[in-house]
Amino acid sequence: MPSERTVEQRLQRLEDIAAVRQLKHTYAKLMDAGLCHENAAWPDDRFLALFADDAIWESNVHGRHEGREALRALFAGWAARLTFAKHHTIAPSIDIAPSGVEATGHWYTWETITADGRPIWLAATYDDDFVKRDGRWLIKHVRSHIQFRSPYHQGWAAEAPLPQMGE
Amino acid sequence: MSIEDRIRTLEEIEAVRRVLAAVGATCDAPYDGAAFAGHFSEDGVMDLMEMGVYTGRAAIQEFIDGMRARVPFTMHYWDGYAIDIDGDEATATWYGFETPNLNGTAHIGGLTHDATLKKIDGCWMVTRLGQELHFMTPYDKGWVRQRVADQTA
Amino acid sequence: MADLEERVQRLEAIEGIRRLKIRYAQLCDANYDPPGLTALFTEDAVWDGGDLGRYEGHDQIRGFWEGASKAFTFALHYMIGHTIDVDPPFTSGTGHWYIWEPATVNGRAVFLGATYDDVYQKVGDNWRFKQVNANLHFFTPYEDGWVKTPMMPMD
Repeated sequence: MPSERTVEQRLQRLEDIAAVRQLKHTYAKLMDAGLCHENAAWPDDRFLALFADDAIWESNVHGRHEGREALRALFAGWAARLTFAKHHTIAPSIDIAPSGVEATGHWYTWETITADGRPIWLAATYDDDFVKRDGRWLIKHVRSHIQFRSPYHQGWAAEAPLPQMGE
Repeated sequence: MSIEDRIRTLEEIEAVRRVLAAVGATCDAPYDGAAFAGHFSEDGVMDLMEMGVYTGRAAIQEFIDGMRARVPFTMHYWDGYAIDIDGDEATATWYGFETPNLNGTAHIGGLTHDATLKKIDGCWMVTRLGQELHFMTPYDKGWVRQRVADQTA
Repeated sequence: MADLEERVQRLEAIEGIRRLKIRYAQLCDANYDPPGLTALFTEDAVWDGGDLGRYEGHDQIRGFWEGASKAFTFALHYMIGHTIDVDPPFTSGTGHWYIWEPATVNGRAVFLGATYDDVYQKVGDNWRFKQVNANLHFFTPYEDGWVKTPMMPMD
């Protein structure tokens, strides 16, 4: 509770929440620049530097991928298939652990994607872990739960919630 | 205002944002009436305009549980918050985008919301939740061809 | 205590800028209230929307909103994923926002998707837009989607 923390501790918590929010939105912004092919080098070191070196990215569709090089390969695969993507990241709920160096965040995304030349809606929720190392927040574990991934001209009634889906 | 008061204001804005995000999440995939109503004060009011006004947790829970029976899947995207804190009271407005399956058909909904909250025993509780439904349209129609679908069917 | 003051000012500046952007959204959705929206801009501000045009100063910016209110008879500006950067003395800042916008334009349902790159300036106690750059990703008829028709002609 706030009354048990010092003013400095309370301020630090608010700054950490702002920093984690900024980190997730930067992830979305850089990823979309890559998937829209505005950055030919993506997934580049600048993007991967948002992640801890032992970071994990997993989803109910893509499986589990650990370490920056595995993440680089995962994201490069997306860049090969997608020509357009916008991750609309929505409703962050961020908790900073009492340690002050770990955090969790829950988010929604509403995505507009072009895959294999076709427009796709994608809806997902995220439960992510973050760590603070050397004063900097990093993404430690992304858990994406894709709720539906549907062709634009079809809608999601048949697919939501998402059954088993191959790539 | 003292530094402590200013920090408190920032904390309360964040706390209200969190509570409202939690309220929205109880309506996802799909609705949990007890969890939703649990965020309201005892005499809290949910005003859904043409869809009715519900007073008190029991009435609110009953309505939300009724939605679950009709809506097998939906997601609520709530964001764009404007939150004002006045001591132990708060007001908020925000935007909502929804993707329900109604009667076997995907729909999209565009809404704006407002709420008043009161801090009771250290927790922000909703005393009034309102909405304006701008569209709730079958996916194959869009809001120009059919602005509001029949949600009671 | 000076350090604490600066840290609180930074968070207050971020929240103040966030509120400015939401106010912009709400006024746009109130049929593009021209005087209300124009008042959110500095006197020498620029609104640059690429194909939507470039408008400098209050007179041009007000004219843009007046035109928008005729063409866009309905809109919901969902201002969502954003980053905001401010530095001491917290009288200016920058921001990047995603917007998702269902709208009715010249009688047609459309989806508009864009990002904004903004420059903010504090005027007295109030944050104002000094520069708004709207980067349109798609402006597509509802029936078509962003592959078939990424950018619908305005007229």
